[in-house]
Amino acid sequence: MKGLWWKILTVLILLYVVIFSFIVPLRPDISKLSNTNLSIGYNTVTATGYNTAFDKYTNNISGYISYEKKAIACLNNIKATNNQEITFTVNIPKELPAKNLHLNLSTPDYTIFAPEIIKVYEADKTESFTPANCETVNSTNKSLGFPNRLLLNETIRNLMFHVPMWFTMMVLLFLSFLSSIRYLNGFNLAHDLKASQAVNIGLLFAVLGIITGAIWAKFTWSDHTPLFSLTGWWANDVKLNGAAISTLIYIAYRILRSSISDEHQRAKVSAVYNIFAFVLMLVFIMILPRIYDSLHPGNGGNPAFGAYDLDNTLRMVFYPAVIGWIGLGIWILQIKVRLEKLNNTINDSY
Amino acid sequence: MTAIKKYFLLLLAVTIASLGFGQSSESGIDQTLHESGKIYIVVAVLSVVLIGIIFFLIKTELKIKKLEDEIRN
Repeated sequence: MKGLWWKILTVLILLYVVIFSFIVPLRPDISKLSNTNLSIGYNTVTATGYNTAFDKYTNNISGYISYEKKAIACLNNIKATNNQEITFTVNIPKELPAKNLHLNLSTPDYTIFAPEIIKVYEADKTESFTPANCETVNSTNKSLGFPNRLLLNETIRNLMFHVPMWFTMMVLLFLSFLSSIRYLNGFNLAHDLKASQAVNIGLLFAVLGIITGAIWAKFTWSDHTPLFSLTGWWANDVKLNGAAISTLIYIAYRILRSSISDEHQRAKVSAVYNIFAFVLMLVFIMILPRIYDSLHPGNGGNPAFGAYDLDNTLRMVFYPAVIGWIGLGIWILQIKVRLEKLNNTINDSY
Repeated sequence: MTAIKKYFLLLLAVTIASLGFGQSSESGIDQTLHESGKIYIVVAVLSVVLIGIIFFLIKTELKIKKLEDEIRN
């Protein structure tokens, strides 16, 4: 069958995306310290990790507390109590350059950097200090994994399912926009049909994006809210409100279409409306969130794919995910357009 | 039509039943969620996407069925 190859490719890509977004582990990280507020002098601390497999490296763990890449105090007597827990002692000096300090751990297979996890409120502030000279285990970062971020944890995998919904919506609405322009340039009703169906499928992906985003927000941004309550599903965020407004604009497009019975008049009015709607959607989703601060990464003036937002392991799955979901959206669009064309031919012949 | 309705009701029943699992205490779910690094949120999100697309497929199938009936009569 002609034109089948990209559908098979879409299915294969989506299969790859679903499998890899679940099987790639999160990178080892420290999730909790028994005591984050350390005092001057000797402290005994228990650190709880995630995916750390500490007991594999019993005598091969080293670490230090640092400030701006300089070691301040070495960790001593590091003992792995089980695969997720180590205890260590640390001697905090009296004078420190800052109150918030970073924790660094090394094993032969990975290093952990936990920024500003340790606080020393008692310390006197000093500008000059002599860096400590700590023994470090040589480590090769060979473990493949997604970044383990505070609050996000495993939900970083949602990047492959929530974000491409919006990309697919944008592509479908762009196709609709193009079809509307082509309709106005020659008044061929086939283009009007394509424009209206592309908006329908685009709305499906917008609704999926909103629902998946609400679930994600509830357990990350609003993690403190009670589980069975209405609060926390929506955040007062420019991008969220912009997405909701654009969705409403396109729902209004459907209502507009259903209110005009003459098909040529309907096509003309809705094509003009559609062109305005697309421009407004771009303003609400792409431009405004970059001017104002937003909870979404890459907003408030930064480019959407900055160096801090995506790392290479995420990219390996995220880019195919975008292509796969867009492919699926266009596939659904094609089926719907063919169905409606058939519908029109059958109704015309009676 | 009736067959599709039946399948849809079955799907709905299974979804509601699975929602009811383990909801005996609020802190219980909360704990499971956080101990596992919130992996179930990812499962929920993927399920929403699948259910949404399947719902759309069912709607399309109903439309095709209507067309087929029109041609037959």
